[in-house]
Parts: sequence; structure tokens; C-alpha cells
Amino acid sequence: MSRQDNLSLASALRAIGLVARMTLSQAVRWRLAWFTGAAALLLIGGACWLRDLHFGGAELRFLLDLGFGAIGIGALLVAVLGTAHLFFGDLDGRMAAFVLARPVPRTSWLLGKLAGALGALAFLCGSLTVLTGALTAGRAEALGVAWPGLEIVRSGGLLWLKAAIASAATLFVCTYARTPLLAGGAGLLFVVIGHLRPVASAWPSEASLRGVVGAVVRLWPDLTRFDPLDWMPGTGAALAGYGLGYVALFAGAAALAFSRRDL
Amino acid sequence: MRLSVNLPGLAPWAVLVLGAALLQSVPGPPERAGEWRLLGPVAGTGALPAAAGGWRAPAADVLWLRANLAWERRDAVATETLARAAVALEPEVDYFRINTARIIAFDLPEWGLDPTAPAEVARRRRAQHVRRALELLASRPGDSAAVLVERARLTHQGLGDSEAAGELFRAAAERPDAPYFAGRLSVELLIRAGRAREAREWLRAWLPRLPAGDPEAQRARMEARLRELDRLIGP
Repeated sequence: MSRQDNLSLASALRAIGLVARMTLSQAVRWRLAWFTGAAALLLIGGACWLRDLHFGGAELRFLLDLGFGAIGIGALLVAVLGTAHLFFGDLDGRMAAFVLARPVPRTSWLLGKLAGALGALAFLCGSLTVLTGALTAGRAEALGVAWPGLEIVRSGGLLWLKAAIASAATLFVCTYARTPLLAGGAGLLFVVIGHLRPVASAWPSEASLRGVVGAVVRLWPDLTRFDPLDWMPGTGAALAGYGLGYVALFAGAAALAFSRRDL
Repeated sequence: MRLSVNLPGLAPWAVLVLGAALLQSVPGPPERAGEWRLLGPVAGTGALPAAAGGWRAPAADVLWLRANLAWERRDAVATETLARAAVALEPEVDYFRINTARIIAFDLPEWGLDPTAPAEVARRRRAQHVRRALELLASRPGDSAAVLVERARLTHQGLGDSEAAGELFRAAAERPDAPYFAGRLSVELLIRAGRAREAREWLRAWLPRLPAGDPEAQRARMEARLRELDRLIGP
């Protein structure tokens, strides 16, 4: 690699970092993200009523299920709607045109947007996972059962990965779509189909699932692989590779599509 | 008419398809597709939409709570349907599978039983339910130690088959997370089934794995049992 290439790579990375920082600050100012976070917080806190049901050791599992369910739905909503909002916010506000008028490659701008969205998602998933962990730690002590700290951290990471795939897929749709509504709707549909993939596989003999439709179903990312607390020992690296692979794939395809888009 | 193909425009899709095809080779969890068929009876309860939105685990919990409410009402159909649906949504959770099997084996046959029915009818009814519970327990490949222990317990208590129960306890005892009593019961049940020599040899191989300092392992007691078997059976 020549010195010129090194310099251009360094400047591209610097541009990605700058756009990511800008996107992160936009995400922090986005009210729906705070609203979603607060709703997830309420759901996690509300799960405490389970203690009245006297389930014994199983109560902890139920608490974690509800806690991670709240984090999962909050993170997916922010991933899909937030990515569409951040992308079109810059396009409609002419911020993208302003940035791209400078020597910033389109790919750097797009990847910076994605990195910023993933950073915001990491903050959301991380803080809510810490809260879930703290809530369940006290309850585990009261119930006299072991507190699955490592499992909680892993589950938070899996939810972030799932949201990251949804965010990258939405970004890919954004590069074709003309409105955030269309991109957000398509992103939500992507999430639903990703969760229903095992159901589709349950009827392999159905005529509708043969041919093109069947191939699409099989190539769709299986988002149920990232369901928390279903961790299978020894699958961590494969799962991370699967998740990050899809993120990279959607980001690469989005960069290719965005390079030909009229701004 | 000339058909023009926009090749650069297809590049993102080609990247997606090829990359996704490559990613399919990444090993995933065992396919749980078949178990989704069990959700048919609870269509309309919100379980499927919840699962579609990534709320599989909370949906299973809610179904389980509803199964418990049905259990309190002694509504056999609703209890079994809802409990099985919870298992279908979260097949990898032993808690749902084991407790559903216990409900099917021990509660359901008693609820619908006519008190005036002959003892033989009651016995056959219980055995039939135990078999259904065992089918549920065995329906997922790669049993955990807890599921194997439950299968052994039901086989012994419900069907009175000491030999099969002994083999299942032995399979459970081979697992790293098995309780120590699985190995002890395996030895005793296989002796009762007339396979004392085989039980002794397995006990001899299993003993070194028992920690001496753990009172639950009862190593000293099992060593004494091995000496006793050596004396009774001979070399």
C-alpha cells in the first residue's frame, strides 16, 4: 500500500469518525429515542410485580425475559426508526449535501452514519442491560439463587447485534427510499420476517416456499439466533461472525447503492 | 426490442445475495421449526405476533402464567394447550418442558377420572398420560441432564420400568451437570432389573469422578456399595 493510499485511508477513517460523532449527538437529541428508552425502563421496572406470584427460582428467569424483551423491542424500534430518521434528517436538512461538498467520500459519510447509530444503540442496550442486571441481582439474593451475571452481559450484547443488523438493513433501504416512512416501514417488516424465519422453515414442503420465495427466506438473517438467554456454549464466535457479517454485508451493499443515488 | 440491464445497479443486490449465501454456512442453533406447529391451537392469543416482534421469551412466560391460571381452574384442555404452546415457543427452556410433562403425567389423569371407575381403567389412563409426557420430554434431541432425570423418574414412577429408568439415569449421570443421585439410582435400578454385573462395572468406572469432599456425592457410601457388590456377585 502506497503512502498516498495510507493517507486517503486515514482521512476516510477520520471522516467516518467525525460523521459518527455528529450522528451520535443527533441521536441524543432525538426525542423518540428517549421516549423508547423510558418505555423500556418502565417495562423493566414493571416486571417487578412478578415477585407477588411466588414462582421461586423461576421468577428470575421471568424477570430477565421481560427485561430483555423490553430492551429488545426498544432497541429494534430505535434501530429501525432512528436510522431512517438520522439518514433523512441529514438529506432533507441539506447537511449531507454540505458535508459531501467537501472532500468526504459518500461511503465515509454513510459508514459514519451507521457507526453513529450503532454507538447510540450500544448506549441504549448497555444502560438498560446494566439496569436489568442491577434489578435482578437484588432479587436473586432474596430468592437464594445464583445471579447469571455473565449471561446477562452476553444477552445485552446479542440484543445489540440484532439491533445492529436491523439498523444496517434499514440503512440499505434508506439508500433507495425517498421517505423515512417507507424506509422505517420496510425496516420493521425486515425485523418481523427475520423473527419468523423458523416458522417459514417449519413448512418446507409448502409450494409457496419453493423457488424464489424459498431462497429469499433462506438468505434472510435469522434474528431469533440472537434471542437472549438461549446461549449455547461454544457458539459465541460463530454468532458474532454471523451478526457482524450481516452488518458488514448490508453496509457494503448500502455504500454501493448510495454511490449511485441522486442527492 | 432491446432489453437493457443496469449492471452497476444490480451490484448491491449481488453483494447481498452472495454474502448472505456465504453466511448460511455459519452453524446456528438446532432447528426448532417443527415445534412451532404446536402453536396452532393458540392462534389469536397474540403469541405469534409477539414472537414475530422478538418477544418469544416474554410471550412464552405469559402463556405459562395463563396455563397456571387454567391449572388452578382444573381446565385440562386449556392447561395442556397453553403449557405446550409455552414449550413450543421456548423449546430450549427445560423449566417449561419438565413442568408441562409433570402436569400431563400427574395432574391431567386425575382431573378427568371418574371416582367410580375400576382400578384397571385408572391405571391405564395414568400410564397413557405418562407416555404422552415422556413423548413431550423426548421430543427435543440433545436432552439435558435435567430432562433425562425427569424422563427416568417418570419411566420408573409412572410405568414401573426399572430397567429403562436405570438406563436413563445412567445417561443423565454421564452429563457434567447431572445431580449425583442420578448415578446412585441408576446403579440400584439396574441391579433390581437383574443387570448387577453391568451396574457394578459402571459404578467402578464412575466412582473416581465423585469428589471426596462433597457430601452430596456420598463417595464413601458408594465405595462401600461397590465392596458389597463385589462380595455378593464375586469377581
